[in-house]
Amino acid sequence: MPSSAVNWNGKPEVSGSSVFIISCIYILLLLSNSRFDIGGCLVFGAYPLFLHIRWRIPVNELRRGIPGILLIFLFASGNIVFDRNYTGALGPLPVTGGMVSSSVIVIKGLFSLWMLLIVTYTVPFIEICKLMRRLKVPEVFIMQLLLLERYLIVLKQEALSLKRARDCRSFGKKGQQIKVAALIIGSFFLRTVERAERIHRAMVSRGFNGSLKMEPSMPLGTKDFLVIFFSAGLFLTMRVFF
Amino acid sequence: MHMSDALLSPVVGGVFWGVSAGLIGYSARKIRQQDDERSVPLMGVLGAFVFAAQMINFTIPFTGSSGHLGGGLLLSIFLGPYRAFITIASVLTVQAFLFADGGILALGCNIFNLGFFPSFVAYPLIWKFLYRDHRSSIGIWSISITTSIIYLVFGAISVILQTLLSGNTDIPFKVFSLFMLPIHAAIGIGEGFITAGVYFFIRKTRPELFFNGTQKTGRGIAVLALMTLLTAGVICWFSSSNPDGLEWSLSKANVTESTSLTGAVYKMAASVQNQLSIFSDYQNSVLSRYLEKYTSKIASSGLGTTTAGIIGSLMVCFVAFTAGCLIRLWNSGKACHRQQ
Repeated sequence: MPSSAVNWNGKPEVSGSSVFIISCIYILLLLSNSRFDIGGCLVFGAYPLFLHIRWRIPVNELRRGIPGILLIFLFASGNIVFDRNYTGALGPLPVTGGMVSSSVIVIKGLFSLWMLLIVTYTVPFIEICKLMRRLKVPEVFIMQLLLLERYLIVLKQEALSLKRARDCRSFGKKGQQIKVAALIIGSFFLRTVERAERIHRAMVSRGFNGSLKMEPSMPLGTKDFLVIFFSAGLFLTMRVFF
Repeated sequence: MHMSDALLSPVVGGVFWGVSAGLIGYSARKIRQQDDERSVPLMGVLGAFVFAAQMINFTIPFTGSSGHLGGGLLLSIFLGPYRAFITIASVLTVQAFLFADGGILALGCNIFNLGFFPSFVAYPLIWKFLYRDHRSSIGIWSISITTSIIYLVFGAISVILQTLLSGNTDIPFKVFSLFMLPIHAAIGIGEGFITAGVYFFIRKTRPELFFNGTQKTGRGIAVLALMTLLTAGVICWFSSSNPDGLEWSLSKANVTESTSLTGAVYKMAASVQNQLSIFSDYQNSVLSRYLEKYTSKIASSGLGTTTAGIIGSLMVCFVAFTAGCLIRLWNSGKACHRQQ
């Protein structure tokens, strides 16, 4: 995954912070649509579609949202069962209130997830952390996020190798019981703590005194403000007139 | 139990963003007071550990399916409530912004559901309350399972309430609960088993790793919470249906709601509200009226006054707790400013 697809043709179009702010406004206004307003929700699909094409995001990226979509379908299906009030007909097919409201849930879910996937693809995580820092989020939380992101891949590989070793020694489901898993997770926990102690020693030797020095984020420029105001105005127009 | 944005309304999502931000600020302040810089890398790496440990699955007996560690209780046992809450919040933030798991608006709700209940409810009120060093193995197993079930079931109830308050679903509270609660109770049993297993392993090998902080407020809060739930859930059965003093005196003075709401100020305020309101669902949307509407909806769905009372009490607790945290933060900020 590229670190920043906002860098289009080698030049950043807008900063990651502004993409994040725009996404928040987009999601808030999308979700504020009435639960029976399919048209009003569908209009909002235009914006993620535009960004997807503009920033040339691979379609494969959308696959990451599939588990989330399944859950949305599950919750939305409840409305079809519990709201059977007849509201109209689509050709020969009778349409109930539940069908409309569940379609709205699915549309809202798909578009908000699409926008979130665009954020995860285009905005580097460090940008989000810097934005949080500017918004006065406690430093300990930011440090936590940075360390977590840094060691995520390392520990995932270690866990995967532990799992592979256990699977090699198991016969069918024998060897995969809770007791064995608890022992493996326990030893993995000890290794993690030892790693944390090593990291702490390394950090102290490099002058760590309880706070992490972070390069300040680039302040939002005129271009960023223009993009944010234009996008917010567009979303408001879509929300009010459709 | 990750909620998605589609199930939430902006009001509910925004309120829980505020609540979770308040809790993060409060926990960060407590951690700063403890002044233990060694814990910083430990928290970060343990957050990654929770992610990674979820890959080590195990078979669930008699079902043929498999489960994995959740990690909420385990983190609280080793890091204490404040560090555990920050760690869980960071895991959920990374899941949302790196893996698109959950949602931007739903992040506040997810942090609250998966972080608040294990760190600030289940760990101090159940684990710490029942745990003794000399407890037998069976005792520890049962405490671990009970604590895990309670925090997962509380989290599931919170998901149900947040979804119902958002008003996007027509699923009745009873059906929603019947669908969600047994699943989460079963997950809690698995979580309790694996947490206890890891606990025994660490106790044998490196017992010094356990969190030894004191919890002064545990018992007091437990008693107060119990009294509140009793009052809201049981004593409300005996409440009078007659009008209260103010309503009685207004009715005697022939003042009705319609006469009191036709003044020029009211009209002007209503027109400003209508012009500013872009959220058609929330016209006339004073939060109290909105909550009242859905609370009464839940109450009329067959659960009665008890549920409405308990839900109302929990909401007041959340709001009061967040307000308290914010006021304390504000005061401490002013104190620091004066010292400088």
